[in-house]
Amino acid sequence: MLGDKVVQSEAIRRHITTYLVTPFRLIMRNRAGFVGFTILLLLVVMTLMGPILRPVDIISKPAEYRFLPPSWEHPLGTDNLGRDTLSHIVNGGAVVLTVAFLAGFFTVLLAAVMGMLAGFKGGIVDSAIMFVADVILTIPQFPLLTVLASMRALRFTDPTPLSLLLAVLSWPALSRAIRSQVLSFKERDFVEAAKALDLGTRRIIFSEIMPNMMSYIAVSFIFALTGAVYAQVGLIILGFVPFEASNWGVMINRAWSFGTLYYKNSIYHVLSPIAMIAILQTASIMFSRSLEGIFNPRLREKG
Amino acid sequence: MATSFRGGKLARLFSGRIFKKVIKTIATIFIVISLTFLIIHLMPGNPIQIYIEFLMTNMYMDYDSAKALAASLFAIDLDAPIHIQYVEWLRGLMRGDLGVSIWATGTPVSKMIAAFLPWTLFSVSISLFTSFSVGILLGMLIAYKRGSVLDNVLTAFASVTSAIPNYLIGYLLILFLAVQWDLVPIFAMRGAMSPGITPGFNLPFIADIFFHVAMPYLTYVITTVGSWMLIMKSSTISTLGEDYVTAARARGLPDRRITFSYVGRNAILPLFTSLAISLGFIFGGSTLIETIFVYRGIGFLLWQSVANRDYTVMQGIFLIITIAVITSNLLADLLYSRIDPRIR
Amino acid sequence: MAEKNILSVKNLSVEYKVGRGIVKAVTEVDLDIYKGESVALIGESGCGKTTMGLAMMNLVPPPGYIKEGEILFYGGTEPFNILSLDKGDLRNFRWKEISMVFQSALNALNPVMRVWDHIYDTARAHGKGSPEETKKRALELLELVRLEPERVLKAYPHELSGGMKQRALIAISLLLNPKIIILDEPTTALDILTQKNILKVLEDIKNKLNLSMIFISHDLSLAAELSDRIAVMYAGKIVELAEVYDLFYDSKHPYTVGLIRSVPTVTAEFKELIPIPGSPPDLISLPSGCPFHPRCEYATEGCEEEVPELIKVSEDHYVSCFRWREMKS
Repeated sequence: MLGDKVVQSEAIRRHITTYLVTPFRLIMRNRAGFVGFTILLLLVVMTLMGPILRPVDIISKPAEYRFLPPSWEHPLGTDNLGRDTLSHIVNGGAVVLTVAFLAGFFTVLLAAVMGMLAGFKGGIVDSAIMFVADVILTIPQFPLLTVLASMRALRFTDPTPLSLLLAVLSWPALSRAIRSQVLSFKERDFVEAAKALDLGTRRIIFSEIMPNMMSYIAVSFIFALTGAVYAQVGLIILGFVPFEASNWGVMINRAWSFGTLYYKNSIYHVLSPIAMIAILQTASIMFSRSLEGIFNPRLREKG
Repeated sequence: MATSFRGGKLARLFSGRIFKKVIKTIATIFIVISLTFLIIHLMPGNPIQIYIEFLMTNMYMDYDSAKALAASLFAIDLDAPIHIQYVEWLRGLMRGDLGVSIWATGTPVSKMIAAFLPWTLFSVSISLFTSFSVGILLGMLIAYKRGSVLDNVLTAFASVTSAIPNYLIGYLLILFLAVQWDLVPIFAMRGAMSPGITPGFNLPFIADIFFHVAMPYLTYVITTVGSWMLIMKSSTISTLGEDYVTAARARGLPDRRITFSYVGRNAILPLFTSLAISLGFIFGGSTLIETIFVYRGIGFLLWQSVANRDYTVMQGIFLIITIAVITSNLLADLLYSRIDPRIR
Repeated sequence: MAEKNILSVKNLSVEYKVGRGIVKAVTEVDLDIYKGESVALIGESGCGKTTMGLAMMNLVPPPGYIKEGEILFYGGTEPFNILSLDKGDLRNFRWKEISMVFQSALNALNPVMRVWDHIYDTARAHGKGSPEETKKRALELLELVRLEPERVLKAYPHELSGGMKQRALIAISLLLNPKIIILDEPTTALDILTQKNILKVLEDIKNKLNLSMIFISHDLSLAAELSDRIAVMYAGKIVELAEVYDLFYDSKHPYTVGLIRSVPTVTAEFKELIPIPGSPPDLISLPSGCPFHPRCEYATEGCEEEVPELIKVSEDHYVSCFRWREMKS
């Protein structure tokens, strides 16, 4: 009885170390990855705390307040109605990040399920899944989204359906990688050994196969995230997704469609959301570089 | 293991990879066409239904007239059973009949596409050509000069430009080159060519089209050259470590020969698989880039048709873009097999 | 008096600078190679033998570098130091005077070029003859190594088996009639039958052509079959250098004795294999004194303090051990 408890807590400690402690230590070591991670963290914090600390400025002001340059009162200046740009920025990331994270999560989930099914089952299941994956991969993603955006049945105002749709279009790439990992692991010696010791398939998946695939999965999560940001902001800019005004993408769309993009003074107002999105994407990519090293010991930089 | 094949070129053509690839390509195109049919014609809330409702509510048509009009615009017979509709639809496609535009009444979709498509092909191909060539040359250069200042600067540049969405870079170019610094006459550069200039192989025309494509071209190149550079850099670095490179040096071959025929030829191979993906991406991105710069290519037309609820044109463009991407994937694949003797 | 040497390594030290420290791959080695002879460099993995071979063509890759020493080549009128040749002369020198058949033949050929392209490239780089002459010579060489000349000449590397690639590489190495060819692990990674074939080819070359061959291997039996003299290397130094017979039947270094004892023989009576205890030293932090002393059953205190020099114990037999007199084989 006690022995079992000891073994269990040992296992938990091992899992925490593998999945949390060691990665964290490694993030610290890789400079670019650390910077990326910190920036992402800051963005998330800003998105969460923003609405509380600096609520959206909704008061329209007279003409002399329009497109003011940065000042103490308005660190990022004002918009075309004299409203504080910074408030729009800190409030505008919520939907973008939510869709991005959800899409990333769904993509990984879908890809893992499909990839493992294809790898483990093989045969006709494998061929069918891979065929569907190939078809999805060859269709250009953005035109498809554009066309779908025009259909009434697809509500793009809600983060969740949009994320699901983005995930449906992004899972093929990762599932291929997961599938080939599963295939190669099926052959590998330690899985044979585990099977011989009759450890059960679920145990094999989670304690042997998963840790080795974590690097793929983590990096692909980040890629799905950046892809989702690209797609949703693109759709917003073209005017196909009517989110509310504080959304970074909507800010850009309005500047462009109202023509205020071409005013010299609007630069601070337009540049802010562009910079935010650019920072988000760049930080994500930098972070993903360090992830490659974290879960794959062979890629870790030496000493 | 590749074995030598007895039999003429024709026989070799029909067995083996190339044939299978072509079949797969045709199958994929077929599926995409069918899927489009499914979505457009059968899904609840599909464009045909919406259009009929629109005609009935806004144009006060009765159902039958609305249906008849819709049928003629979409080039299908709405009364016939589904499978007949499907076959007719396929036949129409074979003939090149993509229906008639709803918004630009009377204009066949195929004619509209024919007017806009060449500009996209033009801008995409010159951009791809430039970013691919510059990317591989720079990539090889920084692989050889690993760790130098040039390496760090270019790698940082490449990482940033490939991370930022291409349309944002387009906006940044407008914001700075045009709005802030007044370097570029952005409004005059709209459109694919200036009115009044006769198309043809004459200098004014050629200068004009390059003038108009400059901004989209710059955007495409800046956003794609980075990833070519990075892929080529890592490919070159791993090729440099190969035994056959050391062996080539041992045989006293000149550096230039080694760089191009031993390192370059092998390092470039993985890039061709990325070429296919890159094509799909550029075609997809054309919707945004062309719209931002008001460049009259197929992406711009797509945006316009979605904004105008012009379903027939939308459907036509989607099909054309998809078929174009699928076909270029096949071409890239064939190109790869010509270059790598291990695949032949 | 005619010069006996074709190559003379004098006080050569080669090091690699890695994150952890400096790897002393080769330390103060002297070695003379005579004209027309076959010498084997024998040792465990990581003993510096491959680095020696690369150094002879000044091909040590970064982060490696020549720390000190010279390698004299006696080809022309005056002997010259290979390591001080400038780039252009070095390029001409390589393959023309010394050529090398690399370890792991699997990857020494450019995958996108045919065998003929490799040969023609080499000939062109050295300004040698027309394509027709080169082709003729190539076909001759391919026959010499027992390959189907026409077929192999236009083959791509992936169309050839391991053994065929190895033989093709040997043929290419003979293209410019070098005075020395270095073969790095010519039979490793090949199956037993193919090894036998390669051995036959190498014997042919040895008998028919008048050049010096340097074999780098861990395989004692290969050395026994093909070489006139054997140099045993350990931790970057030569510990024993002797003619084949003397090395096997009159070994004077404990390491050599240990090596011979640990190799099974097919024809001799079944004896117990005695492996050498311990493992090779870390080349970044070598033991003090004689590098072999931690594993040596004859080691005394003196062995730990002083590094033994390579001394001559009889005609063409050198050893670096303080207790060589006590060796019985």
